[in-house]
Amino acid sequence: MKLLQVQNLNKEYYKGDKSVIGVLSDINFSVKKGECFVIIGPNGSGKTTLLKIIGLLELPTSGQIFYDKKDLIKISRKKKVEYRRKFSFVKQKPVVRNTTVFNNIAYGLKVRGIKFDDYQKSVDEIIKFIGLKGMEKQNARSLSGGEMQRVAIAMNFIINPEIYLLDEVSANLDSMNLKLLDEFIMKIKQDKEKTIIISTHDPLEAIKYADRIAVLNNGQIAQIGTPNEIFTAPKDEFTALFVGYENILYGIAELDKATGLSKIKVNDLIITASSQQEGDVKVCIRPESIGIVKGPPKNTSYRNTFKGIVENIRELGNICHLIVKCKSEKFLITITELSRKNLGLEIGSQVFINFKATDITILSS
Amino acid sequence: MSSRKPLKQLISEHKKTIILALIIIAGGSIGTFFAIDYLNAQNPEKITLATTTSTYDSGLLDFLLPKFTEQTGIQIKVLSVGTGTAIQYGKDGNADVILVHSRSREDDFINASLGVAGVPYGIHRACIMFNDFIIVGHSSNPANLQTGDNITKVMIKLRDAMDTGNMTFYSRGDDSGTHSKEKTLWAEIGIIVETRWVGQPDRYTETGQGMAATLLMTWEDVDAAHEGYTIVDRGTWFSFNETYTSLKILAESIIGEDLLLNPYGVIPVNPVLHPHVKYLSVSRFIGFLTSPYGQALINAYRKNNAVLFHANFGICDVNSSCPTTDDEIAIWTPFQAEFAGLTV
Amino acid sequence: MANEIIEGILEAIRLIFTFDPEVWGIIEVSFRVSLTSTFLAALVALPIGSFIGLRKFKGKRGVTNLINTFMGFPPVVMGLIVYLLLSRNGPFGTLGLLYSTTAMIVAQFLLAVPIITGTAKAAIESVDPALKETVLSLGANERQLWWELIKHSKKSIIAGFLVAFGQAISEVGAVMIVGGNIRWETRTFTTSIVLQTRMGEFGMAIALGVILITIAFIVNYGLTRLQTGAD
Repeated sequence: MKLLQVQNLNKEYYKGDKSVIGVLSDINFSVKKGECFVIIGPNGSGKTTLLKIIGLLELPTSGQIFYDKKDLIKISRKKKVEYRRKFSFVKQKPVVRNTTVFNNIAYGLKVRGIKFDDYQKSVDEIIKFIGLKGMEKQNARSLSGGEMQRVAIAMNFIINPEIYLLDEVSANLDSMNLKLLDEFIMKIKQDKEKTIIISTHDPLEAIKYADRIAVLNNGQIAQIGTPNEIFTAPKDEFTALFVGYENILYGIAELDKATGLSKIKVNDLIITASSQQEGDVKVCIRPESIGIVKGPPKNTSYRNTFKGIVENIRELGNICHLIVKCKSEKFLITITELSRKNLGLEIGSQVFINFKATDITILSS
Repeated sequence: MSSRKPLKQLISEHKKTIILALIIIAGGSIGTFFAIDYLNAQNPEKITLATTTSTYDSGLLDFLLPKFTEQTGIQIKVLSVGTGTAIQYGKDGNADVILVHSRSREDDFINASLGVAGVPYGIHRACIMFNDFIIVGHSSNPANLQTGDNITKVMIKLRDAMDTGNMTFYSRGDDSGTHSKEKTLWAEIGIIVETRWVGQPDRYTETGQGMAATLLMTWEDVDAAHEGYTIVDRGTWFSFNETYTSLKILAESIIGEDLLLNPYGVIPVNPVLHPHVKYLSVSRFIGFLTSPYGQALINAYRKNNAVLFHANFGICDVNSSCPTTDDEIAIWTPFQAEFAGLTV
Repeated sequence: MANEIIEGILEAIRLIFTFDPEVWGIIEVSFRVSLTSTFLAALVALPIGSFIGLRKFKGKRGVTNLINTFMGFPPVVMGLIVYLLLSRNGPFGTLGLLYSTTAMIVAQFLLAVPIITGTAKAAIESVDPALKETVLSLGANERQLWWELIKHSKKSIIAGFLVAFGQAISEVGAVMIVGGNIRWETRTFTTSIVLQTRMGEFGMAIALGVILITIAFIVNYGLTRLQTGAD
């Protein structure tokens, strides 16, 4: 079911000299209820503006946003407040009000007309959860950057909205806050009633959370798809270069007690990784980490070697992309154009690919 | 945990009640003051007198009015402005009664043909007192004014000294009673000041300010070759003669000549033209001023041990300035009865 | 003159501490008129100014220019306008409110409204837009956002109030014209100083001046504290 639908969205700014700067042009996508939708793109691609428009904090120049088939752009100011309360918007840079930690976190509940006695307990709980117990009465602006971020996260998560908008939130977080945020997001992801829209420039983060990804380039959506589609079959050069052309495979990990390595079953392949994880995982391998040879490799230190067939070749100047199909999985591999010619690789060539257990990133899913 | 409920929270939960209470308190007190002002405006026992700065600043009114209020309960709000402004206030109906010193303009004020549709602005003027104007300057006296010079001679001497560049005459230039008297004196020797010394402020300076500022400028204009003169009423002069000690009286009225005399007229604003004026209270006030008691009070007033004003209601000779008509005497005599038998 | 200033200062101290009824009457009138007018002006100007600062609308630039022009409106001209309005032959003449504290409050109110409007507008506009977005995204409605912005710019708003009050209490032209400088009723510091100077009573004039300067100093001290000090 489509919860949110963005149609033909455009945003332009007028500069002082009346010239127009386009920020977003012809954005179309929809988000399903319970989905985690990640918008990925470099800085300045328009991610924040897009999120602000969705969160009803800015008006688009043209276009529609439908929430449950209701056009949010055309509704009255009063109605907008009502719909805005279905969202929470976590900013890249935390902003807190000039008041106590407690009042900051309680604010979203207070403006919704909830009485002090009714929200006091949940606010106390979340303060404990973010580790700021005892600092309730401190002014939030006097906190350290990391503490302030925790307050900002807590005040947005406590309002329990329908849709969470997270704008580059992990960009400035220290490792402790990153873990805290991760816990929050994972908790929401489990709730199939809640929808998440994340903007990020970090491909790994996109892979980690996304059910679907939209790639935003210079105000336009370059591609929308599942992480696998985006990373294995980027539609254009920008997407390919920007997302870092990752290989992402879904599998089930089993820990081998004897070696301390994981055996990951990906369809009909078994991949060995040096991670300690078990259960459902995502396997990420950077294309440049994968080696390619024509004959079966001998005396190799690589744990993973698979036989495959070159299915596609994309030439990108000095380097080229090869898509190699090994049994039912496809791998994206980068090599220089020179080595491709030396190896005499063409579409249909039979090859062996190999990669080290330590070059694999395992993400639990 | 509920014991932690902060005061701020209590306030925010009763915000509406608190704001309402504050609005009621503030609105109530402001409203009360507005109401007091409004009721005062309607109160027949509160009248507004527009008068000239020279009368007010001399302190005479602060001496006279409490005695009137004590007797009648009527309070008087005094607006102390220039004669021109006081007359305008009367014309606009913003004052109930005016006390001014410019005979020609008083005449205009009560002249029916200069009123509104044949109705004069003021009625039944009473001349209650006079003082006199004096010419002051520095003791070196470049215009060589002598005791006993009559006013025509004084004005000619001043004109000549101005024309030779030995002195500057400082004029109020503000349409006040003093200013209009000064213009009358120049007119006596055929000079129209508006055209005579145009663009020559080193000879004739219009200060456009009050008497104090004009005296100050006159006082400061002193060097061997060039000095300042000005005209001032004796009442105001006694407020400043101890401040500007180097200024001296160089010419004053001589017996049998009334040009320098300065008669003060009190005129009720015409209730036909302005029905809101409190004519009855005004009449009692004029009855007080013209009564033997009021007249004796005027004569008794001293500042720096000097007599400033001479009562002259009903006295008609050249040495006490003579503006009151028999009609006016007849009108105001009945109102004097209230103050009969009172002594200073 | 130096002697007169010292005498004036001594006279000021004497007048205040002997509770001279006339001086205290003047202090009372001055404060009542200026505080009331500034307070009423704030009631009107804060919503208007913050609304203009909060919203984007057509003609906003024109409105801003108008406010800025009126912020420097000559008080004497305002006095004249209020005189003409309240004069007996003016549109509100029947109220008989000319030469009353009400008339003075009206004149000072009209002078203070643009000042407070302008400063409130600027104060609201200078609030970090990120804060505005955060407050909105947390679900605040327009009124709640408005209150939040007011709270965050309260320093500037109080500063605007103090500027308006300082201007009101030290203003002379308008209160002289519409108040009439009536003893015991509409006489303020400034009109009294004009009168005392005219009467040659420099001691009293300087005494009142000293009191007025002290008030101005306190107001300015408050302003400086607001601008540099912590919360």
